Amino acid sequence: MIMKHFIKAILVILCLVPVIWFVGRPGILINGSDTNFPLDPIGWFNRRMYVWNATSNAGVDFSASTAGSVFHLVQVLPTLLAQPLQTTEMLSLIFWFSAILLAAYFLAKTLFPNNPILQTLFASLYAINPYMFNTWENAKVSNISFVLSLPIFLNIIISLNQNRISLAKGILLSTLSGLLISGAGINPAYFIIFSVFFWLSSAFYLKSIHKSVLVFLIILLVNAFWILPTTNFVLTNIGPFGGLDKIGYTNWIDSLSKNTSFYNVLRLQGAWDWYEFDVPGKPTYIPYAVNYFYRFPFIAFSLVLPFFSFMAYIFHEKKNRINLLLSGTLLIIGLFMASGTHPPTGVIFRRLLMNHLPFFSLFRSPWYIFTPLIILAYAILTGIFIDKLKSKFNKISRVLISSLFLGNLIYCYPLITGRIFRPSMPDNFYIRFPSYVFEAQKWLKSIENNQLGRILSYPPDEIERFKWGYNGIDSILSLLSSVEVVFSPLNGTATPTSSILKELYYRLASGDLELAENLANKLNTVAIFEKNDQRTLYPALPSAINKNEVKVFDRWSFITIAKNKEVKPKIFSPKTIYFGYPFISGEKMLAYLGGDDVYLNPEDSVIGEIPTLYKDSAKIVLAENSQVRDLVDYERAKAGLEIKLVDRNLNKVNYKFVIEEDGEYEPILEKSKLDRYKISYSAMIDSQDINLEVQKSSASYLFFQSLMLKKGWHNLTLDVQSKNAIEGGDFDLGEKFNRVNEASYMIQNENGNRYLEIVNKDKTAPDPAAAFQLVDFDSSLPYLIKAKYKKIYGGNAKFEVTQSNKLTALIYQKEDLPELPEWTNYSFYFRPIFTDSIVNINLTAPFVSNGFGTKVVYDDLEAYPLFTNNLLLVKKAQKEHLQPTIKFTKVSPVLYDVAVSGATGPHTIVFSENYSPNWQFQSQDINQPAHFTANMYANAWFIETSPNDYKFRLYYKPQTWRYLGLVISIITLCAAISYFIYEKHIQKS
Amino acid sequence: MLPSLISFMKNTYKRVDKWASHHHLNLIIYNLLITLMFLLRSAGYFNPYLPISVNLIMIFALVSPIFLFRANFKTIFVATTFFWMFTGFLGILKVNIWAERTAIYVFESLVLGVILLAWETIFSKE
Repeated sequence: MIMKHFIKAILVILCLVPVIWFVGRPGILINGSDTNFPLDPIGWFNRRMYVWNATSNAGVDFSASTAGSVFHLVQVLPTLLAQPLQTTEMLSLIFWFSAILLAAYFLAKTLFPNNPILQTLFASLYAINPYMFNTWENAKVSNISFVLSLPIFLNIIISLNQNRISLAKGILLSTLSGLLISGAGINPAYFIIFSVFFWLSSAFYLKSIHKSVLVFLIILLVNAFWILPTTNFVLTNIGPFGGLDKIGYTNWIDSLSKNTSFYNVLRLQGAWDWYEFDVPGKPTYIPYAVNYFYRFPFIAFSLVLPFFSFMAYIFHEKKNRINLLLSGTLLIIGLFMASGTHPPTGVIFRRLLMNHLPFFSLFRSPWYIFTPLIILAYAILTGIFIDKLKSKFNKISRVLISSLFLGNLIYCYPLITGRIFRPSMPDNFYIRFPSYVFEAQKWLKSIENNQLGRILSYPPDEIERFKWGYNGIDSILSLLSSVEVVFSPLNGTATPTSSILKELYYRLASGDLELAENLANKLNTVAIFEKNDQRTLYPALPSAINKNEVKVFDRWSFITIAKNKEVKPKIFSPKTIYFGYPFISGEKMLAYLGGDDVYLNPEDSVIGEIPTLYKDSAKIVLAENSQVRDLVDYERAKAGLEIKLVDRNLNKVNYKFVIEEDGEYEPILEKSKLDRYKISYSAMIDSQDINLEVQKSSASYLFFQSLMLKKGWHNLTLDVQSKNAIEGGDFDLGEKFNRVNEASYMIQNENGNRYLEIVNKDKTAPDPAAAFQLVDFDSSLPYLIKAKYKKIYGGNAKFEVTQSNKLTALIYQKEDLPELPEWTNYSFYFRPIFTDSIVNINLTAPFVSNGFGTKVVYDDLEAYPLFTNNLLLVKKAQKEHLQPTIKFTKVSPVLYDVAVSGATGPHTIVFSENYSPNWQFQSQDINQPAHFTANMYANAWFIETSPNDYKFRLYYKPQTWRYLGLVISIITLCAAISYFIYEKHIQKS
Repeated sequence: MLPSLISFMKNTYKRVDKWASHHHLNLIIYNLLITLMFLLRSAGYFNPYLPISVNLIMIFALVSPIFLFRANFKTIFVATTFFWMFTGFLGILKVNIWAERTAIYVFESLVLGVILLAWETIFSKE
């Protein structure tokens, strides 16, 4: 009896492990990186009611995230009871930690009914092990749910097989447990593996297979609320092979499998982040990993569980043969799959599974997905071995259990003590959110239901690193409220929205405010969220922006983007339609277009069927800048000297463009940084001299007199001169550089030409060099650097280019020059990081150890910023498009009610949310209009004929699957409860 | 303690001696086959179509006792445990490259052991 109470007490203490994580840390939350603990749990939960998430980067399909509803419901309940955020998080963690521990404990009770101490050991081995470090570190919903699912359902299968529970109870348990494990569906791969595990286990308990079929059906039905929308998304968006990027993931399977050797996987130490080191002996991410690598007790204990597991096959009770076989199968599958693409089995994994098994690309993290199978196998096998030992040596078995239990707690000290959250690291997970974050949250919550437009996060680092500790890959605003935000995405960088964002950020940081405003308008963006507490290299916002209307919360400011401009609402009707050539570079043309304009793809097959739309529209052409083209070719070229041993000339820029329709085109040149260059507008077009006359000028563009152009390719060449950013690089005025280290620096004269000669006898670290700093350096522009050199003897000549700020070097680019004894021209491009910084160029005489030293000579060092300004050619529209009045209401992220008035002719409706064919235009007044992409990313419909006034709805169709699934889940839950009550009633009567 | 250990050693020796005398032909064949495989490997036979790797020899060394000595799954798991102990020994000595290689043999013998266990369970007369 005492033992029973003692064991219960131990279990309760273990369940409360998450409390230890918060001890001595009042008001602190575990948050950051992949851990998304919402500061607005109710809003976070509500978002999961819909399959479209409008809050991030113009919206994204959110079907898979609906599976997290139950997990986040646990966070909602304490919030509704007005509990502080820390209590909410603690209760949520205790709930899920206890759930895993108790699920394992109850399975152990079924497997080893007469051995209560062993049951506790089983539960602790399953719930507390190195695999779980990462799971709890990031509170990974799918991992937690999957780990929870294995013991629960194995227990149900065995209990039904052995008639320990009635079918009604089994169904009720399956329904409730099915809901608990629903989080596994966030990554469908976890649910697939759960299904494989379920059927494997059922096959081993074949006698009750009919009951297993019923249980599995119940699981599917109660999880219909996420299975239906997620299946619909996977089948319609992800190809059977590859296509991971479509759900925002990056295919990183090889990097994850780098350290998943059998040796590591068998010891549950295959997590990639354990093996990342900054310098030898100093882990990048996991500070405690060194203990597991180098300390004898940790290495020895890591070998114990596999050892006892293998011993179970030698010493066991015959009654356990089925469980031995089941565990062996789980162990083999777990080991093989968790190793991923790591040799030696990686070849089979890659060739057989990745390349030939449909949808296998979903299994992007094999170590994380399959290791729980190994843990379960270890727990069962260790239990079987100790159970056998107990029958022969009771005392020894007790000592062994106690030692294993205590040893495991010590071995897993990072999990017990909260070290998994890396409190000693600068980027740890213990975060004290500043008070202004919550003040901003209050304001954001007050505007989220009547938001005029999106908020642009600035600075645009893909990972937000705040000075007070929080790191996140999504905008922090998403944690706080449901406001719609645009930010630099870490994943999905190839989407049209992210191209527009990239251009917008560049224009904003460069101070091209008119272009930035135009781009912001296209993204329905009204404000900038300026984070003055973020670690960043990006330049501060231009001062002109800061004069706009501002809402300040200490280090955070929300600034209106366009002070004097009307921002187009999310749903609007454009006045001018532009077709762009080439469409793919649309973001540069979008920057020119105003709020009433819309940009369409001339190659869109849907638009091709609407000739009236094309006929009267404006055309915009982006000319290819020869200097930018050469830079891109240079960067794409394979390493080779032939592209560098040339004397490049930046005195001309050639614009090459294609005209698709004869007519009068207005050349428009970007004004950005134009004062850096001397430009002659006596240009050449197709080898004929013309004089470009400036007709007008705006803040961002020069408008030239229109040109009559025929269909076909054209070239327009301008004379451009930029100032050499190197002073004294020709050495005619003597020594104008700084000496790096001691050597002989001589300005030599050869037939009147002066050049630099460096003789380095024996100096190194750093190599002697002549150092030049770029004058009037602009980090937003790429530079051409060129010089002449020859090597006399010793080491080869070398250019070293270093960009640095006050704190550190940012870029170091080295150019090892070929061994040429004659004067040779050498040129290369340097693309700096856009930040406040300086650039130094060193002409180096490297050290050689042969005693003779190095002698190299240099001359005519020059550096020029490239002329990257775009040239647009615009053909005006034949007639303006009809602009009816549009009023709309956002009912939910998936539903908008729209009323149109004054629609007296054909018109276009633009909906500035990411394009998806699933956005449906539902109207009883007009027929289904053509649906196509506008402004590169948005939805548009062309309405040919309509009543003057009409109404329609924009509805994201997959939401229907969500509603249907919810109904099925609720009915299943009710039916399971009713059946259980009915059976109880029958039994009583 | 010491006398019982000596007695245990003597008994074990007798049992092994008896077992060996019953299987001496099979033992010769087993040793010959393993030696032959190493010879073939050193001479590069069947390369590049079927390279005789150490892994292949190890698999052969694990599989052939099933036919030659009627080794059961427990025997194979004794090998698994032995390999794991050796892996651990190398791991403790921090010779991780060798430990990783030995762990591959652990996996191979584990797979074989589980297959044998399944075979014996399915076709068991009990």
